[in-house]
Amino acid sequence: MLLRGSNGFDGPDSALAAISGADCETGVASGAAILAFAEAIMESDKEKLARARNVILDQLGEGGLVECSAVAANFSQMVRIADSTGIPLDPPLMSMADPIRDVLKIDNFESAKNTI
Amino acid sequence: MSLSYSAARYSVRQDLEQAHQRLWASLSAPGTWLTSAERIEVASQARLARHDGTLEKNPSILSQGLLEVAKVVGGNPKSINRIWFDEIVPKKLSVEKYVEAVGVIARSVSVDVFSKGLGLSLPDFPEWQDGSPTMIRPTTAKVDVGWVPMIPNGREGGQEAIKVFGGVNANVIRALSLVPDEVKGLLDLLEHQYIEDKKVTDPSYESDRGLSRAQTELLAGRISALNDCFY
Repeated sequence: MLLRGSNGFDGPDSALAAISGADCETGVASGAAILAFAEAIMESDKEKLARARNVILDQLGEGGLVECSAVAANFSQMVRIADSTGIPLDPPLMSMADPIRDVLKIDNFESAKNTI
Repeated sequence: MSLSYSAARYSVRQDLEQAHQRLWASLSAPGTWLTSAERIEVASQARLARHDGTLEKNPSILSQGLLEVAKVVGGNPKSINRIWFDEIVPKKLSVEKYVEAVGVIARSVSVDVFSKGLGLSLPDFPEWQDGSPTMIRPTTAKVDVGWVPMIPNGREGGQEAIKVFGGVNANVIRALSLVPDEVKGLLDLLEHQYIEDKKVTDPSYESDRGLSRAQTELLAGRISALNDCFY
């Protein structure tokens, strides 16, 4: 939702499907590298993460790598809080999410039962 | 033991390192409902569960409820649902201890994921300290949305809402408000790992850090999706 309205996003809504793992252009600079880093940091394959880290360093530099690690850290935290407390999506966010729920396929998540 | 990124291969912003140091210091202090030793052990067991799915053989200080929360919230948050929650709270754990444990686990995961991203060894947990939990419960906290009591938004939450999360805030920030210190810690990390709380909902806001807002939101969205998190 925030991606769609953010500066630097230059893609159609279908590009948001990349968030759900679809193989499509993201409409974001270095988007493929960022998605690969996200996947690698959630897995236990150290070599895959090292490769993803090097691509981030090449494309976004050391500062970009630190920020990618910090954002990944932050959302690893947030998902645990949301999932553990059974909170619903806030009404304004729900109305923002409605048009893109199909694209993101998020209704299939276990946590959707808690959130919607 | 103080957390430090001074030996890291990559330069870490001082404000971010300091936020993680504050988190580590808060872990080692007595909490609101958990002792210092319980807070550190919960974070430690969550780390173990996340990395190999196991718990220590004889973790002597944690109750069965705290152990299970550490294992599931730390290692397998995708599996959490209302049935699981009802099996834990209040049968095995008070809701106050549950909320504090969730905050401790979630925040300590931040440091581990950050370290992993930079290729650093996971930092040792701090030593525990003597002292008793304060056991102070917000008077306005109640179950309104979600499974756990929270300080309500706006007038109903009164001064507590203003003090803890600025009066009105998103459910994911209010979620830990049964234990106000956990919200304080969360907001601190949010600002230094992502974006200051008040600016989150403005998608045009750009920080002067290393990623554009679009890059930040793409990564945030993918991490949430990989965790099957609708919120």
